[in-house]
Amino acid sequence: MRHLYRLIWALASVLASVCIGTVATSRHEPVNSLWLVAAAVSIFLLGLRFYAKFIAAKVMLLDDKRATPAERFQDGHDFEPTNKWILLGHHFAAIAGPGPLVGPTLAAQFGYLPGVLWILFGAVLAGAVQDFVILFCSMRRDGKTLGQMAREEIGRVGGIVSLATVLLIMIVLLAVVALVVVNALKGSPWGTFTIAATIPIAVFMGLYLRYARPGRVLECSLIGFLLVVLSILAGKGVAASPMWAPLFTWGGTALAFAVIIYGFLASALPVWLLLAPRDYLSTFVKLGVIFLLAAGICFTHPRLELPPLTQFTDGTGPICAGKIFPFCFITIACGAVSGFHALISSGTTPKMIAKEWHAWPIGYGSMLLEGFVGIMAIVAAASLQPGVFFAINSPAGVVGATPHAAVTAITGWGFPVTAAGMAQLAHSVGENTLFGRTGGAPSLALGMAHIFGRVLQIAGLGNGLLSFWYHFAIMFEALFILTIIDAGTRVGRFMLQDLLGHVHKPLGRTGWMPGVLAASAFVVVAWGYFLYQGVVDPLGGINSLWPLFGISNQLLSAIALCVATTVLLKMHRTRYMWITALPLVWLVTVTFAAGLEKIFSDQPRLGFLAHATALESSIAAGKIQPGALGLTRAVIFNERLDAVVCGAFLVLVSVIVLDSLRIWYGLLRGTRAPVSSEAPFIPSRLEPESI
Amino acid sequence: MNTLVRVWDLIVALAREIADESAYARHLQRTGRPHSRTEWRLFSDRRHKNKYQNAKCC
Repeated sequence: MRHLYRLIWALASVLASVCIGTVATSRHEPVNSLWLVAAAVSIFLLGLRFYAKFIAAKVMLLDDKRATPAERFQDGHDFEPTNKWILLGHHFAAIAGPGPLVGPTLAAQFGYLPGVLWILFGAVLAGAVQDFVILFCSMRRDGKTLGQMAREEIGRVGGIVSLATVLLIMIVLLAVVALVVVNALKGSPWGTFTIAATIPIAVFMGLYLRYARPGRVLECSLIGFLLVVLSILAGKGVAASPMWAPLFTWGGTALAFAVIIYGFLASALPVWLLLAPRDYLSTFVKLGVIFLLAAGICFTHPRLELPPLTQFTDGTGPICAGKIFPFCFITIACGAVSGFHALISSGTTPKMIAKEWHAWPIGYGSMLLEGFVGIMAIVAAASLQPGVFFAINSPAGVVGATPHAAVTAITGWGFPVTAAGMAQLAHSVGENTLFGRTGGAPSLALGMAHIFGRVLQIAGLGNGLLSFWYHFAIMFEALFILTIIDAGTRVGRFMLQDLLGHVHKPLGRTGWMPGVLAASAFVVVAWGYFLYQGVVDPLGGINSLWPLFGISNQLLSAIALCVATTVLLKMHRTRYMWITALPLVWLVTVTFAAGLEKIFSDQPRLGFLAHATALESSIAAGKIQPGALGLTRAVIFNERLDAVVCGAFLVLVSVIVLDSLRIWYGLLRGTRAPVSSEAPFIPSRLEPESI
Repeated sequence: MNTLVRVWDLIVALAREIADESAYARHLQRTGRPHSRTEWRLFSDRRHKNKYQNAKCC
């Protein structure tokens, strides 16, 4: 048996090597996506079985005889020992958002290979390690949050810095995900109608759960799902109606204001009315669609039409400017390494783990599943014709505002595409145009629609229903993005009210309506401002905001890894500190390189300050039309603001890294006592059968 | 067949956990109170208050 076991893992290693070798060395003919899927599955399984188990057994010394917080503080609410597979699904549903779908799609501008390699090795060696170690740290500290652990393990400065970083990241995150929705819906009456319909559907669900059938969440979510599908079907009629279509055909600015107003109202409304029912629905839809996409890719195994590497590795990419290093590693954060996961790993999950060894599949395995979602997003994007991919994702400011200009530029790059072909494609998915839909969501939706449509075709169940699947995919993405906006604005409001309560006590009360409205308005204006600047940005907004989000997210990861390394040192695991220290060094290098380039690069498409200076020179030279002067001055201000925000991230993280180095130096020299806030050992009485 | 049934049970259990239905059942069991509109309201208000103290992940 032992020999068979070894043989299986040896075969898995050979399979991983062959698959990754095939993916990495194919240059002149399209590769089948199954190679990618097989490479991902085998590498992730090897990582989980060997690297993660090594960390669990040798580094963190997981011990099932030790009672977890779920057992010690069991209250039926927050602290509850839970079956590990259920908790794995729960944790995965909490960490997987739009990031692993959008980031890898945008990074496909470099070709599919860089993104694939970064996701495979980034997830195994850095992202999953961070999630696992932080989950372990929180589990050993009664389920404390990252901020609390930073304060206790590193110091007061660490705690304050991590709090400020989280607030700043949330503002950038909300703006960038809102921009993805706005760019997907602009000029699309079908999409706008469907997403607008989800609001009354969610309210109906809230009322149904509160008054009609209390506690029947699954039943209510099923009804909500059927209503959403009906709204997608009705959207086709709306888009075709001369009376209704204009009512739902909105430009970017109008949509941005609609999302801002929505965010304000949603954060001030009772949770049960809008946020909670939609959160239930979006979680189920998200898990269902991810599962269907995985099955669809295995069933249809599309060819990867995008080349493994494009010429845009040199920094001239139309979607996000900047060379493959460091920008590929910034564009893909979620899917490879995401600091935001540290907040989830130190949130609900550690309070529900029944046995310490369950943290192994839950903490490490969930991140690998998210990496797999990222690989699927790359497959969906790379299965499109490259010309189509770039026509959808390239902003008008780069390829020109007319279809003719855009196809000429994109064909000139070596990716043939025609205006007639794009018009036909847009018609087939029920859209007026697909040009200039930056943000990743529409190209991902198109790739998913092709995969789902092909499944139906192969199964002989119709002509593929491309337009339905496209809008289903858009709805799927927008549904959980709007949930992130609701929840994020609300959390931002809580944080702000907490701070304002020190100035004027009533402002800190979450039930005092003037305080609620003022704090909600402040948070909404903060992210709304960045959203608006993204919408009016001639380069598409994503070019500025997505790297800013990637940098901030990975800097949060750097904070988490500082905490993790400090804990390992205090546990006397010095010889293993490289496990968290090496990813930390890599992330600090990448994010600082990207951040400094974004601020100081002399290329106007890349550097915030260089772009502002170039625009100022254009105004001085009289090259800007008088009517566009106001907008140009606003863009100049925004670019400088982005530079300041990016600089603030770098300063905040420098503070915590330097503070950590000071602590580590003391611990390694023996001049600082390794005082840990780990909870004392209490023997577990929980029988495995009872979980 | 047994494996399929176990997988299905696991999927249903996961769905009930995500939907907070399992947590509600535990709450009723722990407090010894019967299901009612008021009880669900009390439970869900507390549950949501804790749940939405944290941002949703990206």
